[in-house]
Amino acid sequence: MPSTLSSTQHLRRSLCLSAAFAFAIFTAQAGLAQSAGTTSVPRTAEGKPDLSGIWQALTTANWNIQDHSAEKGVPGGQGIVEGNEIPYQPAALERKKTNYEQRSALDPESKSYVPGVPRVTYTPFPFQIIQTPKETAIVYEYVHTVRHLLTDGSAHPSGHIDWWLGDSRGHWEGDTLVVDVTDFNDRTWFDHAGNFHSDALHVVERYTLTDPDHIAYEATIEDPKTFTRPWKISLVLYRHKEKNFQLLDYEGYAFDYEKYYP
Amino acid sequence: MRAPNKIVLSLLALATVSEISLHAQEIAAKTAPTAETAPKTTTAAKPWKQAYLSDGQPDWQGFWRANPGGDTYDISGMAPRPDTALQGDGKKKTPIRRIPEPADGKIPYQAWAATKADNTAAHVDSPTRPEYVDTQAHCLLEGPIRFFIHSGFKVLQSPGYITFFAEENDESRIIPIDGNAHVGSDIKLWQGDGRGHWDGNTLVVDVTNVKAKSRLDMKGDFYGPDTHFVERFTRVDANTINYEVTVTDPKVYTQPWKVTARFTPSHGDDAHYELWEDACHEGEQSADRMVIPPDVAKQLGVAQ
Repeated sequence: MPSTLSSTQHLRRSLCLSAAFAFAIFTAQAGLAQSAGTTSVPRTAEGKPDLSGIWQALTTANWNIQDHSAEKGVPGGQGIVEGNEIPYQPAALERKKTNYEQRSALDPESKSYVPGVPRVTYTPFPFQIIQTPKETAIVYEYVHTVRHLLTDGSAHPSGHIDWWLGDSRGHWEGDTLVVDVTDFNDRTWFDHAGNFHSDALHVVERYTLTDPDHIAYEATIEDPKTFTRPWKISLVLYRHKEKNFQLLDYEGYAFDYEKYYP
Repeated sequence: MRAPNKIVLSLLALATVSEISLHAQEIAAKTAPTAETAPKTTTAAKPWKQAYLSDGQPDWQGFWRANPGGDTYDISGMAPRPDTALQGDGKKKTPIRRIPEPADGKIPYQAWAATKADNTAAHVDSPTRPEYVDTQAHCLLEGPIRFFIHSGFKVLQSPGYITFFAEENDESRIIPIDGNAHVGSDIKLWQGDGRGHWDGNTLVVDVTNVKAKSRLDMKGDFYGPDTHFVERFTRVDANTINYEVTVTDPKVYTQPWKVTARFTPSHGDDAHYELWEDACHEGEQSADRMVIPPDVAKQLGVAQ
């Protein structure tokens, strides 16, 4: 259909249309990027991001959650602590130093004890997330550790309980699974470098699928007996994509007994 | 008199049959070997119907336990543990016959295996060597069969998986329902490699790749790294799952043999029951000290 616009109007209109088109593409891409956490991830029948699958951290945090150079047998690594500072109270800092000096003997990992939270997330072993409406269970390959993150609206049990892995109650904030963890004992470390906590530890974990194969994992750590303020760690969890990948087992404390059985 | 309505008759018949089976359950519960009360059931107005999950799996989620169960001193059930041979009322426990095949109810060991099992059984209550200490004392994973009979467990189902969580020792068995092959034969696992499929209302779990370092029971019954277990779980009604496992290993036994158990719902009277942490190894203090040193054994007159 022949246009009734003048050539100037034509040009202006074309430019406007091009700009509009470009803007639309830009917005669409930005929208995709912004909503990558909301639209492109697998979802459960209830519409929540589905964290189910087998995951593993690639960081060296299990050795040391702060920046560290390589040592014999220990790769160097950039830390997972935001700001790289752990705000110890003065007496606690002294104890951390002692822990570090005697870490071979004192690290509870040497007895194959369960690693506590959040260390269990970044051991060099895979774990499987099994998500259901009222509970997200996590089975960790490392010494068959299990956590039940209850998402049924229930509260923490009353009274302080001395658990190795704490008590986990989760709820969704948008597309992030927020898990409140309390009721810890003081027997676990955050890493092999001697970073530790008391039984007043309180951890808030955040699991966010940034795309189908990555979870942004953050944890806020609070412990008024050990630190002067809360502090945060953050790392990426990678989905295992190998064909037929499955959890095996690592029964650390069983190796020395195997020779006696069956 | 007018002919009775057929539908009414059918409902009456159904109600009667259900009432009878409920009554039979109550009778069975009163005479069962362990003093476990029968699970509370609703009255028989509605027949139970199996519900299904989005991926087609029958929904079995919740808490279950072997009933009778708990005591795994002897997997055959014929020899109750000496110190628990009496019920709470002082009466002797009736042995539970758990092995329907072979006919004599005993594990059909080859001669060498029978010698080993008998020797362990003779020493397990006063162990003078580490191999006489039961694996459970060290919080070692229980493996097939024992996992289900020793403690209650929770069933959680998600697309493509049925997962069992034991109430003790934080043990779990993740069973994929994906039709994939077993892991390679060089990989041996404490709980074995269990792969499942559904056959109507029966879950069939094929277990290979067992590490075979856990024992079947406290008195020392055992299996080998080539042992093949086929577990069959059949839901028969709202409150019953029948468990039957076939155990095959031509290197250890003279024939395949079976173990049966019945699972009933557990903690049904507590809507808020939760599975809490059971950090067995972390609390373990004394298993190594169970081994009686030779000089003490001599003093006590304990066979070495």
